[in-house]
Amino acid sequence: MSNSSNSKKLQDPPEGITRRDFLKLTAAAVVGVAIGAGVGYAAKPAVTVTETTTETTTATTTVPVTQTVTKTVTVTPTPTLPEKVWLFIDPDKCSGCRRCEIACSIFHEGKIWPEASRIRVFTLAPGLDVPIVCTYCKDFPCVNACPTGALHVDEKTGALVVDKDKCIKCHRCYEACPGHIPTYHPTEGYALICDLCGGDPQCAKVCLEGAIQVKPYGAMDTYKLLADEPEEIVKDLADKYLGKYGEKYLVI
Amino acid sequence: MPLYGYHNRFLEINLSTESIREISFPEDVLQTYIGGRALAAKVLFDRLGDHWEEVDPLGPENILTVFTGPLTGFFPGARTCISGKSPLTLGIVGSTFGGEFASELRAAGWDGIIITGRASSPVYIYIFNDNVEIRDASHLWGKTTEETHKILVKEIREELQGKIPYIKWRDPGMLYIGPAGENKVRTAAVSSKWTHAGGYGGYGSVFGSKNLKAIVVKGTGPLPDAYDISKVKELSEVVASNAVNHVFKWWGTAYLGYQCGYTTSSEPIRNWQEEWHDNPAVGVDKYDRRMWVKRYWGDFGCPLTCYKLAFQRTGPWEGTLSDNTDYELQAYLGTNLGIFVPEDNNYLSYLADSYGLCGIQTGNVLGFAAELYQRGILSKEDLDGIDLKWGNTEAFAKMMLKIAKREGIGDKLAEGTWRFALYVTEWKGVDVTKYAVVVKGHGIGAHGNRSGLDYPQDIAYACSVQGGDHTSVAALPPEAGELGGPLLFDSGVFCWFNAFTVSRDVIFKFFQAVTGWDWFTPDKWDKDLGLRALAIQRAALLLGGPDIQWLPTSKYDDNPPRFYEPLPSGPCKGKAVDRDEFLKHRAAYYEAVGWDEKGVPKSELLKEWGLDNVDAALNRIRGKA
Repeated sequence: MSNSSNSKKLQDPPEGITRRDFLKLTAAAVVGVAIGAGVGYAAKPAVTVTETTTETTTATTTVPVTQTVTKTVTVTPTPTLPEKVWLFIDPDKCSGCRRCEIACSIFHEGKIWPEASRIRVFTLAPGLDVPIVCTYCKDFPCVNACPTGALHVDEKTGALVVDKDKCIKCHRCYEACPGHIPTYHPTEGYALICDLCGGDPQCAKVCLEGAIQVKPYGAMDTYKLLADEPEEIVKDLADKYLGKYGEKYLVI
Repeated sequence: MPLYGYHNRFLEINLSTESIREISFPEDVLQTYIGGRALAAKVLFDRLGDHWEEVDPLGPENILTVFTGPLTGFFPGARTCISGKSPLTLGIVGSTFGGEFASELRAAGWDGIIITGRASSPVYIYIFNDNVEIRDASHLWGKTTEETHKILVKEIREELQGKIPYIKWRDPGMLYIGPAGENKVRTAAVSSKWTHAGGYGGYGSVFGSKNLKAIVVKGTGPLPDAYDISKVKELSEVVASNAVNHVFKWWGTAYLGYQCGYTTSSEPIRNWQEEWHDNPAVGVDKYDRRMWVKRYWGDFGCPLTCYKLAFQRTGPWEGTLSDNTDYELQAYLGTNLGIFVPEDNNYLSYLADSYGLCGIQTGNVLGFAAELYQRGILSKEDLDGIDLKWGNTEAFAKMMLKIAKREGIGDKLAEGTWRFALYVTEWKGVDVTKYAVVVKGHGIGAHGNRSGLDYPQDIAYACSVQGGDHTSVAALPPEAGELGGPLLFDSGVFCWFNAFTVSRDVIFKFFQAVTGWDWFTPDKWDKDLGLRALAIQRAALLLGGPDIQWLPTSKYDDNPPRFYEPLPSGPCKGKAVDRDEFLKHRAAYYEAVGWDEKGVPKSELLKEWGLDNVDAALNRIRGKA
């Protein structure tokens, strides 16, 4: 396998990402290489990348410093994010502290409300906590199942947005989801699905263990495989950590 | 101003009459007694204080309180505070533990539960928001804690899934007891989640005495409104940013198994006959490398995650699991029994969890019995054929099971160290109380005060209103001890390991952000409110009864005799508590917290605080103090 074939692949916009998105991705990567930052996508919310960003202006517009950026700049710039992100969940690292739920519910509800959180931690075996949140299946079966168009994927951020006024509480999104991940507002009844906080997920910000990380949203079909039931996930973890005693400690 | 930080909704459940009702407290009561431990003291004394000495802690008249506080779920690390008349101290002990019970209870719309009476057959209490039921628990009676937890979580989740099938239901919050609690073992704990337990006070036996196997709660609502939620969030991140650099983050308390032995000479070894060791075999590194399968394990809102998941894949104790082992159990089910093998220690810790025993109080009585065996006061026959030699893990395991079942000699050990000591003294005609390392019926936590290098001062246990409780030690100045720390934290009901990471200033700012109480200052607590709750707890402890009264105070407000024996080994060899110094400090402490020269809360202060009932009750024992 030659380098050139890899390069060629990289230049083909992955399915599901618009050409403009792809250009920005590429440009951002080029900036990183050009000034030797060597860092990946992290930390900076996608929402700060504006509509006016273009291929030719990326090098200056994505560096959020007030002074004019010239070729002599030696400081490490804040890395830019692609517009579409995704929450990478690592249950091996989850401590079960639920700071994610606290941050999510404060952001969305203005109060601490664990069952109104769009991310929910299941504790079905000792110490083997499983955060459950929308995995962003590429084909969005929940959106397709919604009879009223209450669910849609924001073109820019890629976030799944629930229009609570259109939601008729039919729970078809729950049934359509391979992991039965959607939940419903405890008092209002409309669907609660992770909307990536508009592109700046609060849960990932407060996760101290790296169990929730904001990553670029790619073109893999694997996302839908991650939409699994918490019982299935914790069984696998129990096998891995507790071996043949897993069954003894599972409470499912 | 509305009441922030509370629902001000409490459940009162009478198990005798099966009545369930909602109560609330006047705002000034909450503003004075906050919640958790202090509020429990107020409620218990108001209801039982006029005949406290006659109340059998294991009788239907005792009252169990399961309280949160205004900061529960807001301050990082939610906890629950359980209380009642303690079967160990006969006073009021606030016993707190982690897990999600507290956050679930608050999400269900309740700040606490008051449980009275006694069910005619085994029951559990089920709470789903406003729906509260007393349910049959006969299928759970006799089960270990693991079995109980597993059966109940499965049952409740299946029930919820059946009723509301379009939500994936999570595990509910749960308190429960094992066989030890059912058998009214005075060293029984109340368990929560896995390996989480409120052991101090012995409230597992109070659950058992009420035929109460468990409390299950699922809440779907929000926590109460906070006065300034963005400030709460900001302060939480201050705690979090400090927590990540705290030693408890990576090692929990497990590093103390070596530290308290080698560095501070304050670890119980063979029933406190020594407090120093230089045995690296019990270093945290061994626990970590050989057993920890997960390093960061925390409860609701906790950035510190001091729990570690320890699991034994192989070896004689294959398949057993614990939460670290944390320091107290490293010491009490390890070095205190002459055990210096991490795997053996982890195994005994697992057994304590499984039977629902407090690992500290049970380790204390086991060490005491083993010393009597060492001294030939108790024979193998006396111990039902068990060879209770130091380091004999299997023997200690067998005895733990006998205690949990109250079988044979285990029935006597199940009374806790002090009562067992009185029993042996009478049985053998030898005074063995001098070997009991307890204060007011409560085994001392695993931090000795002879070396002077660990945190407890000479008055730490002697003057504590919770007896030998190492988490609530008396100190000079008082605000440096239980008054300013544990009593405050266990009344706001939040994790004080997380509280350790910040200054007191941040704690009070937190109270203000949640409650909006701009008047709630360190001085207000240390010089006024805290002293009131302390006085109530002290009064209950002095009243005691029905089987024992800790009077006169000159005798019982003291260190165990062992702490006056010089340390026999290590760099602190020869050091002991100085009796003259101790007496001076005790007198100074009494004065500083508003107690008279005999340690009885002063009448004029009690009246000034509106605690006339406490004053009247104390009049019954002032002559004997």
